[in-house]
Amino acid sequence: MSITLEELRNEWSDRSRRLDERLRLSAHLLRDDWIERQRERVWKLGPFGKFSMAVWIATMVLLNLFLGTHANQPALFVTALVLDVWVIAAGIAAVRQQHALRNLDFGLPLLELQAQVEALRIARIRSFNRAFLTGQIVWWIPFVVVVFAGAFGVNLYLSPQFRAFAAWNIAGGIAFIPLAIWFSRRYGERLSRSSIVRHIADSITGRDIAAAREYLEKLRRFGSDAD
Amino acid sequence: MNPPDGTRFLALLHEHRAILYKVAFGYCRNHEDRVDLVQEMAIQLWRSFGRYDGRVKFSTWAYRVAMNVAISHFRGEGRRIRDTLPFDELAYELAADDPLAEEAGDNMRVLRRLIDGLDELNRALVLLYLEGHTSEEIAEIVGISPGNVTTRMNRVKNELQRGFARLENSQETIP
Repeated sequence: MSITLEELRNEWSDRSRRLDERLRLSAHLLRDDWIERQRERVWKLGPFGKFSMAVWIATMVLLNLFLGTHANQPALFVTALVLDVWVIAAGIAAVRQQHALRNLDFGLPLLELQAQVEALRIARIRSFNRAFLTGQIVWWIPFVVVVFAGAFGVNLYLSPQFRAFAAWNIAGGIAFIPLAIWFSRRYGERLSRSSIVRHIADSITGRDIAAAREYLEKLRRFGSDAD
Repeated sequence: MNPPDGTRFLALLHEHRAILYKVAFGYCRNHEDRVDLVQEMAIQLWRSFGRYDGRVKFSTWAYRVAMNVAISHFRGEGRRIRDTLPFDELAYELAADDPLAEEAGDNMRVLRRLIDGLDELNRALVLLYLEGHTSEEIAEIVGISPGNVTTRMNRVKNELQRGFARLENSQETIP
C-alpha cells in the first residue's frame, strides 16, 4: 500500500488552498438591490403555488355558495358539506406540508435536519395515500351530485338510476383500495419504467414509507456511538 | 425570525464561498449537477441566514447548510425543496464560476472515485476530515459525538485503504 488517507489529506488541503486563492466573486454581484429582490421574492412565495391557491379558493367559494343556496335541501346540503370538509382538509394538509418544508432549518446538524426531512416525507406519503385511496369513496359521488345540482339544477338523488350508479361506485371505490394495493405489489416492479407510476405504486404499497423509516433508523444508528 | 442583514450576508458569503464548491465537488461528479447544487446552496444559505444566531462559527453553520442541501439533493428531495426557493442571478453566477472543474491528479481521482462509493453520511465525514477539520468540529457539523466521529472515521479510513489496495493490485485505469 503506497499511499495513505493522511497523505492524501495534505494533497487535498493544497488543492483547497489553491481554490481559495482562485475564487472570486464579481463585485457587481454585491448589490443591495439583489438583497432587496430576494427579500421580496421570499415574502411573495406563498405556501401554495398561485394556481393551486386560486383553484382552492374558487372551489371553497363555490361550495359555500352552494351550501347557502341549498340549506333547505338536507341531502344536497350534507353532500356539499362532506365535499367542503374534504377540500378544506386536503388544502390545510398541503399548506402545512409546504409550510413545514419552507421552515426547515438547514443550519441544524446534518442528522437532525435529515431526520426532519424524512419525517416530512413520511407525512407527505401518508397524505397522498389518504387522498388517493379514500378519494374514490369520499368525493367522487358527492362531486357529481353537487356539480349536477349547482350547474344544471338537477337533483340526482331523485333518480333511481343514479342511486344504483352511486351504490355501484361506492362499492367499486371500496373494492378499489385492496385492489390497488394488490396490483401495485404484484406489478409495481414491472411498471417501474414510468417513474410516476413507480412512485404511486411505492406509495400505495407502503414501500416508500418503509424506505423512509429505514433511513430514519440509519440516521439513529449513525448518531448513536459506534461500538 | 429577524430580517436578514443582506450586506453582512454577502460579506460572509464572499469570505466562505469556497465551502459551497468543496461540498458540491464532494457530492457531484458532473459539472452541471454541481452548478445546480451550488445554486441551491447559495439560495438556502440566504433563506436560512435570518436564523443564524452566531452560536456556532459561520463556517460551521455554512458547512451544515451546504451539506444538508447536498444530502437532500443526493436523496432526491432536492426538487421539492428547490420548488420552495426563489432563484436569482447571484446563485447562477456563483455556480457558473466552478474553479474545481476536473482539476485533479491521479491520486485525487482515485480518492474521488472511492469517496463516490460511500454513502452520504460517511461521505460528509470524509470530506470534512480531508478539509482538515478536527473531530470536535466534524461532530458539531454532523450532530454526533467526537468519539463517534473518531470511531467512524477509522472505519472509513480502513475501507478507503482497502479500496486503494484493490485499485493498485488491479492496476485499473482511473477514468
